[in-house]
Amino acid sequence: MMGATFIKRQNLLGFGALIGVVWGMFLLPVSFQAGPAILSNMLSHDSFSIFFRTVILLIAGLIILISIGDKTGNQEDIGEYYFFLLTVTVAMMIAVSANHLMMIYIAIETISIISYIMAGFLKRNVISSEAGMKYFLFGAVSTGVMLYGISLLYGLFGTLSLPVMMQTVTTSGVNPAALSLAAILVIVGLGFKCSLVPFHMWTPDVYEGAPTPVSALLSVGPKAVGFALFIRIFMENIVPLNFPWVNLAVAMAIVTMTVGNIAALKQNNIKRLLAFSTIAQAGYIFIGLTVGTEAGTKATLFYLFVYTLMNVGAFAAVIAISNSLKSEAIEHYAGLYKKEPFTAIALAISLLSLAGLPPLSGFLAKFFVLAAAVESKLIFLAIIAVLNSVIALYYYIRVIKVMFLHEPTGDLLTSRSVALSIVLTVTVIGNIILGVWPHPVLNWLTNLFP
Amino acid sequence: MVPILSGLVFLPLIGALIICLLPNRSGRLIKTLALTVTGAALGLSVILLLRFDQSAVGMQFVEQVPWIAQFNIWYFLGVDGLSVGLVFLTALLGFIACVASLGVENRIKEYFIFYLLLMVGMTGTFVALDLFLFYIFWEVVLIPMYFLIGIWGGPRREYAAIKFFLYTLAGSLLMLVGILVVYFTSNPHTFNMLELAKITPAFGGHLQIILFLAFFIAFAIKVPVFPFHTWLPDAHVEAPTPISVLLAGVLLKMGGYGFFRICFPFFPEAAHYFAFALAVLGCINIVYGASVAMAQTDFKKMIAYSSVSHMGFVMLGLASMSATGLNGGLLEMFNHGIITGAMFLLVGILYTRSHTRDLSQFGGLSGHMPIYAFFLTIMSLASLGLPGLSGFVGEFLSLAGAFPVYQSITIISIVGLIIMVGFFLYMLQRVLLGPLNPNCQKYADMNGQEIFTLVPLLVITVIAGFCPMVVINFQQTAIQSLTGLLGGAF
Repeated sequence: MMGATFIKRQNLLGFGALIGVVWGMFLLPVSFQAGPAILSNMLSHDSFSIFFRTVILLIAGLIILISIGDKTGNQEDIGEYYFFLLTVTVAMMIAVSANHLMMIYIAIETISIISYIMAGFLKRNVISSEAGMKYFLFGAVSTGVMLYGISLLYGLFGTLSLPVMMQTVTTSGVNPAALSLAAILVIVGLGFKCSLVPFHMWTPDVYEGAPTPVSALLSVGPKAVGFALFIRIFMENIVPLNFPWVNLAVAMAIVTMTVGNIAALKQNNIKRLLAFSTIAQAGYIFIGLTVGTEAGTKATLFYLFVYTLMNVGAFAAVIAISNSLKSEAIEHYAGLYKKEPFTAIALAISLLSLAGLPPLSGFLAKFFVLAAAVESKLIFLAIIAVLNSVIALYYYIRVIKVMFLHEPTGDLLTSRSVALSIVLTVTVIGNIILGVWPHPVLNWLTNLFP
Repeated sequence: MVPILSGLVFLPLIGALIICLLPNRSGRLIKTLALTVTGAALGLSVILLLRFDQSAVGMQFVEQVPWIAQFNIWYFLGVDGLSVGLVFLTALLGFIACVASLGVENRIKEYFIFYLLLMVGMTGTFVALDLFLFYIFWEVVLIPMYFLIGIWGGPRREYAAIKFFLYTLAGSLLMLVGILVVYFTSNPHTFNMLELAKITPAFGGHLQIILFLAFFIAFAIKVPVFPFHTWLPDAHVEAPTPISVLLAGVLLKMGGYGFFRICFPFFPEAAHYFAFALAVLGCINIVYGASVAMAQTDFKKMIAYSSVSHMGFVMLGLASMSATGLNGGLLEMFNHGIITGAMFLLVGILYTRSHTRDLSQFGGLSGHMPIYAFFLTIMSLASLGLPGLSGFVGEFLSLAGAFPVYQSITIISIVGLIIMVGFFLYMLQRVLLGPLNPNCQKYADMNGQEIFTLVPLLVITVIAGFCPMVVINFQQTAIQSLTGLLGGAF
């Protein structure tokens, strides 16, 4: 939490914001020992929240760098932009630390409202405004539904504090039908954030319309929060809610992967393609949660960490290309390798990692998730997941094909900004190193969850 | 002791990394470096052969270091009689195809980076003894191969490359699920292939059958076994010559090796259960491959389908479950690698001169290109199984092993062999005999570099034909323990 307070003060320019985030990261290890809960038990300071706060700070840092490097967007309101970016970071950090449904709801609403503004940040661009509007309408409905679920839970338990709720469930029990209904309503709200099918409809339009750095943020930040809350609410606390949750979750994971992958096959806009790819990725991540074991949760956390690197890397490369190409159509990427080898290689590595090919980190992430599924005897789920990976390879490799196999058209690209080079280097190195030497993250997870 | 296997695997990787750092323009330097690296790997593999103890049971040159402790994953390498020949084959063809790649003019740097990465994956697959590591190497082959076909291939290269990639990936991902099931069913959980070979045969019959199928499909796509063969003609025809050599010479062997190393020793009960089906599939491969090859007018496609036919003998030998048949199958893999590697080089040599692979465009080359005619004749005769050359021995042993068990299938397979003789002779007739085709008048005979690539393959073909025991002695001990395992199940 100390980190968060520092960040809040830095709200003027990208570099200032970056310093704040780095400072926050620097301070986080200081508070690495899990401490007592604060704010009358509304915020917890456990190993779980430490993990997610680190991931969110990593995301914030990378997104700030991307935003500095982005030359296509609106430059006049840049001050407000960083203010929103940092506020949403704080809200995300509060959300993953919250131990109380009221706190969770407030944090999610904050994230949502700011995301709506950021998605529509290109004020004079119709598509961007439409994206913001669309995101707002879908989001308002789903958070409303979630609020309804939370109110049902309050009616059932008489409290919104998650630890107290868990005690009630384990000791006295509650009406299972009512609890299931409330849980499903909460799942709608979280499913919207994670863009799980059938709450994914907003994703492609918003990613396409929003400024690309915002799309990158939306593809990793709120998703990490959504998954964190899934774990927080359903795994750590309302565990006994087993039977409808597991079946529903398995079904959602399968549908999410399949819909995302199949829809991505037909896309010609790189941002829309990445949008559907993130939907599919959310399905894989969700597998780790559906199995409900400790191995599954660890696999999810590892996947989320790696996913952040690969997806931000892909978006950063897209921005670097859009800066000079002024296009997001995949066919305009022809021969990119000859014009901009570094960016093309970085995008290729991010995409291959997303496709889950060894020896890149995306493969290990998929491997751990599949291992968790097989360990829990959900073998058919694992088989569906691997068949989906084959579909996914087709559209990832299509982008790579255009970049590497086709002859270039048009002029040479202008040079990249330093900020984007940093992001690309970090993500590429992270993807390669974590693929053969995942020990830093694995050991960290083992230490956090002994 | 020097970690000779790690050296073999990672020498090309180091080479690839150095090439990454070189500027685009230094084409000659890059080629020299790639030659040096593959040459050194070949040297190492020869040392490996010399120091290999032919009578020792079990793994040799073992290297074992923990890797991902949470999942009990080890960096675990070793060779035995099943793999040592294939390791040598990989290094030899890797060097020869590298010599044949010296003519590459377009995007030299990337070509050799991908080429060396391909070497890493291929060699690693044959020496890995940890299932996880095996899978990594198995998959590492795919990306460089995709680019090598997709960038430097023929007119339909993009289609061929993606087809190859998707086909193999679909199979290998199912294998990944199989690997995970094996891991979690074994107690204690392990990826160690030697340990697993002791544990998995005790699995229940149904589980064995399902797992056998999961691995079988991955390997069958790679071999390729009918009806999973459709990627092969496309990939072989579109790939540049050196890559076709490696595809036929090494990549197909990865599938066959998987049968010998994993499918059979891990799931002997299921192997017995499926033996008849394997024999039938092998027979279909032989007859179908030969018949389709007969109908081809494209030189390269003909050789590609002859590979389908040859790999049928490997399947037939495996299905026999006898020491003779298994020996024949393994030997056939080695010999096929050498012979078909040479055949693709020969097709490539003609293609660089004519820019066509249409058999009707050639004719009467025997007088015009005598050296070429000499090599093509010997290699074709070896490929069709003329006694005295190496191809005969493997095929004969496979058939001899299969005959006592599946008489009618073996007899049908021999019909396939006759068709094979037919199309090779027909091809020789169309290319070498008759009046000189006017298109061919300008063709020069083979140059020194081309002769250099073919001589070692020719020498091995002749030696392995006259004294097959030189090769068989390497694999004998391992085959015996494999037969013991298979017999022990019943």
